[in-house]
Amino acid sequence: MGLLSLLQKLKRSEKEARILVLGLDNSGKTSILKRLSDEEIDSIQPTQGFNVKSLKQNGIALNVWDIGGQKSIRPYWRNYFEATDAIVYVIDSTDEQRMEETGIELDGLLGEQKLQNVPLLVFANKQDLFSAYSSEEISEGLNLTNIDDRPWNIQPCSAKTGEGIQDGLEWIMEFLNDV
Amino acid sequence: MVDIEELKVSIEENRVDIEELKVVSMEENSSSPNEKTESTLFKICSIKMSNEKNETLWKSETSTLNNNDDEVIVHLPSSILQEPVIVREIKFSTGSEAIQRLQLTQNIRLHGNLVEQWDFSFGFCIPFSTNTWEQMIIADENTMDSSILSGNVTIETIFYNDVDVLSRSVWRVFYT
Ligand SMILES: Nc1nc2c(ncn2[C@@H]2O[C@H](COP(=O)(O)OP(=O)(O)OP(=O)(O)O)[C@@H](O)[C@H]2O)c(=O)[nH]1
Ligand SMILES: [Mg+2]
Repeated sequence: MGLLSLLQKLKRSEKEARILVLGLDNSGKTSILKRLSDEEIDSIQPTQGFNVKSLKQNGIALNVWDIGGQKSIRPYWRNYFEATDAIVYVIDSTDEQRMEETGIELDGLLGEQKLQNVPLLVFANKQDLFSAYSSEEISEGLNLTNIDDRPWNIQPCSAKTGEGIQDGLEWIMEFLNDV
Repeated sequence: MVDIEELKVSIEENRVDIEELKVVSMEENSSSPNEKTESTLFKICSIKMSNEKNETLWKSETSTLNNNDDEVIVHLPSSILQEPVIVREIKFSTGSEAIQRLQLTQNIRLHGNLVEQWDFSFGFCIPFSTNTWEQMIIADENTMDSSILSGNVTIETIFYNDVDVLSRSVWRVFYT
């Protein structure tokens, strides 16, 4: 598991790939990325800006951008859209109260000119918790099946157990390849 | 007839002039306190190096950061040179103004000669934000011996907003 093994699957003519990770605050964006590289996830603070992870091998670079999801930070998301190759959108599957809010934010992203046709992976996170909605329920609730202008996928996962994370990102990597 | 290529060149040159003017006028204003806040409040908070197993190999002390002009001596464990992968995390914070085009350049010099240069373009930074950049560095096959490098390597780290220097530090590295 890890970003390096993902990078090694990347086959493209462009030298850089940019993945943008967005979602409401507390959805688990930072935890997912830390889990991916087997880092501690118990002491993570809310992100007050961005966390970038970069790696480069054989002339190909991968940059993963995790931007804070607090309401006050969301208006700044648009500053990070440029040259994005894939969007990872993280949902807290237990957050029933904010399911509508997260749907509205996602719709906003899908309507952005600069993100047109950019492949979308939705992580239905926190599946380790009993009260989590399944990915099918979320997909239906947020009308994801209506998305027809880009490749998309929803992947149940848990940053706590690690389940689903590598699978989801491997799916995304296929759409970054162009050769 | 007007030579289009020539016209393009002269437009290009004019554009450069305007850019230069902007820089000059900003420098002139730099005595006003507002202009200074942006650069004075940009701050490197910490630098950390770990290996693939997330074991911390080295962590900065505050005294080694944000020195701007003086060369600082830094002692790194020589085991760093043996690790196949190094993960380096730089944490930095911004002041009251958004930064439009944050860039980082690092110059690695051996005996004063540039041997490696790393650049990264962050672009926009949110006002009052704390941000991290984690870079996974995969080691070359043939790393040099620590005894050859120790004391002879300097690492210059410069953060720019476009052309303005926000922070510069130079480390002289000793391997222990
Ligand atoms: N049980 C459980 N808790 C999780 C999971 N993922 C994240 N959390 C917890 O959810 C909280 C928020 O996680 P973060 O990774 O900080 O969320 P974020 O999306 O980065 O939040 P912002 O940075 O504010 O946008 C933390 O307390 C995590 O421990 C998960 O899969 N299961
Ligand atoms: Mg976060």
